[in-house]
Amino acid sequence: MNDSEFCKSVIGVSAPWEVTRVKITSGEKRIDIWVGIATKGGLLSRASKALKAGPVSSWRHLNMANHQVYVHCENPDAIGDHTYSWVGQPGLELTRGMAKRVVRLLSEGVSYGLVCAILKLQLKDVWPIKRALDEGRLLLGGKRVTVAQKRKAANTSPEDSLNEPGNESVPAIDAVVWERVAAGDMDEYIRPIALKLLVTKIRGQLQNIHDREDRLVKLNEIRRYVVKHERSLERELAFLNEHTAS
Amino acid sequence: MDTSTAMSGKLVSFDATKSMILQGRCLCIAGDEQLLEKLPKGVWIGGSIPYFMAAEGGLCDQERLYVTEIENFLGVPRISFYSADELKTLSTDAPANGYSIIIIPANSPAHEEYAANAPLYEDMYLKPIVGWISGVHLNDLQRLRPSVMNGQIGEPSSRQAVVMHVELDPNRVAEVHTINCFNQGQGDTIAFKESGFSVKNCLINGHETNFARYLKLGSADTRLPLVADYCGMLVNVSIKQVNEDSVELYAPVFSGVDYRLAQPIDNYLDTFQQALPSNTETIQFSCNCILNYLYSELEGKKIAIGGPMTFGEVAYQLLNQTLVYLTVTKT
Repeated sequence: MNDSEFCKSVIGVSAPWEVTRVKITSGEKRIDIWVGIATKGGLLSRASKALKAGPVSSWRHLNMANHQVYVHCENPDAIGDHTYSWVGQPGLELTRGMAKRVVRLLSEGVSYGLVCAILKLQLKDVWPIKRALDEGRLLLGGKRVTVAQKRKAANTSPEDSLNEPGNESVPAIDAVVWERVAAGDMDEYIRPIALKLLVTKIRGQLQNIHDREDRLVKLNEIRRYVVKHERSLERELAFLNEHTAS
Repeated sequence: MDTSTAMSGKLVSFDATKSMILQGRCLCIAGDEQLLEKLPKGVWIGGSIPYFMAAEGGLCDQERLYVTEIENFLGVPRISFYSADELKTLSTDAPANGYSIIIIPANSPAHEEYAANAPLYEDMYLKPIVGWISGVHLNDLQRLRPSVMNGQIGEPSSRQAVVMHVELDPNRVAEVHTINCFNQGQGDTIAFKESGFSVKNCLINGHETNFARYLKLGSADTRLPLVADYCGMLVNVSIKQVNEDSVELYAPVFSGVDYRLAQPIDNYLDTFQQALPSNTETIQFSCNCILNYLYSELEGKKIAIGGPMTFGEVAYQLLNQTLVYLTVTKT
């Protein structure tokens, strides 16, 4: 098995695609893999040659044997709606395979810094994944990734991942009062500017988030703040508890 | 609650500043770029600006430095440059209990990045962050670039932010406050489809129009900022320049946020004095805006909370025409 065949098998390239070239740069611990449209004879057909007119698209893929892997697609226009794991979503610099791995680690509670260290990525590569997740834009395997799916992948329960440890005086994340906080009912009771800014940000983000569990994750950012600053939030806690009990 | 722990900053000579650094004191310094670069290495960060609110009132001074001594910290504060790409970890890098002071050079990649994306950073708002945007003398706007200094390594930067992470003992709490003299006016609701420092079109009461044209037709006083209401906290965005068909801003406007032009203020000084906290002794850090200095003619006038008069203020996110201060209190 030559390098091309080996890489084709490892990164999951299948017809009509073919690994056309592999370059291993041992000194830099880097493998570059070029993928193009295949024909019976291994050469590009006239039709696929026409597709080659566009620029090559490149993405960072999952590491292989301690080497960083870059996939270069010579016919990006031919990808269409396919969601190959060796291809990246438009606007992202990681392949879907690598993005999935990032999401998996994040959903297990691994910090961004550690994700970068584990996968040998830079924060600038991981940041767009977070943004896409926050905005409900991340498409892995053709479907929008929801928090529920992330949790399933991480095999954790909603309670495990959402209820931050905290004093019992802070209502649980499934209490209806958190939606009321986001809706503005607590605004006049909020004193710290950090909480005002945070609630305003979450309120804006929730306008585009309708999935119940995704909303809980955003609301939990407010709850985390309350848990952390519980000592100085007398008025706010009074509101939360009064409206949780009623 | 102990209210006598903090010491506010003061305008001091170069030699006095040098002496404080050599004594190993932890400092946040504002002043002329050339003076900052001559200071010895030590536990300090700095930013270029020659405008201050000092004990003697508002003034421009290129001979002295405004020095704020950081006190009551645990361990040695961590000082780092942050490139635009690295700012995303600012909050997660901050100590669990403490605060961070950030100084960012105006018009730098770090400034642009922080202004646009700070609200989205991981753990933003969970840990106190204050700071300011460094600038230059207004006569030197075309000639000099604003800069910051990492005093620990003795290096300046006009592209990166410098940050001091200060850890506090568990019995102390840091809290960020703002004083904004402006209120939303009674005029039109202004919204923007796109976030950014430069805008063309806007929605006036829901109807799309060109923002520059709207301001010109209404003969708007562009010294008054756009004001948004964030759960009762009023956040200003100041107008830098009205062009033919676009408007440049000192901070970005955000889509999904409703703004109104501010109500005019008869007397900034009086309004400000009325908004002052009753107790200023716990203030550990403060800064105010160069536009307040200019538009309210604060030169020679004194307000009780001093500090550099800056090209932008940071209270978690970037603000304009706002006084920002941080208190440290014992619980």
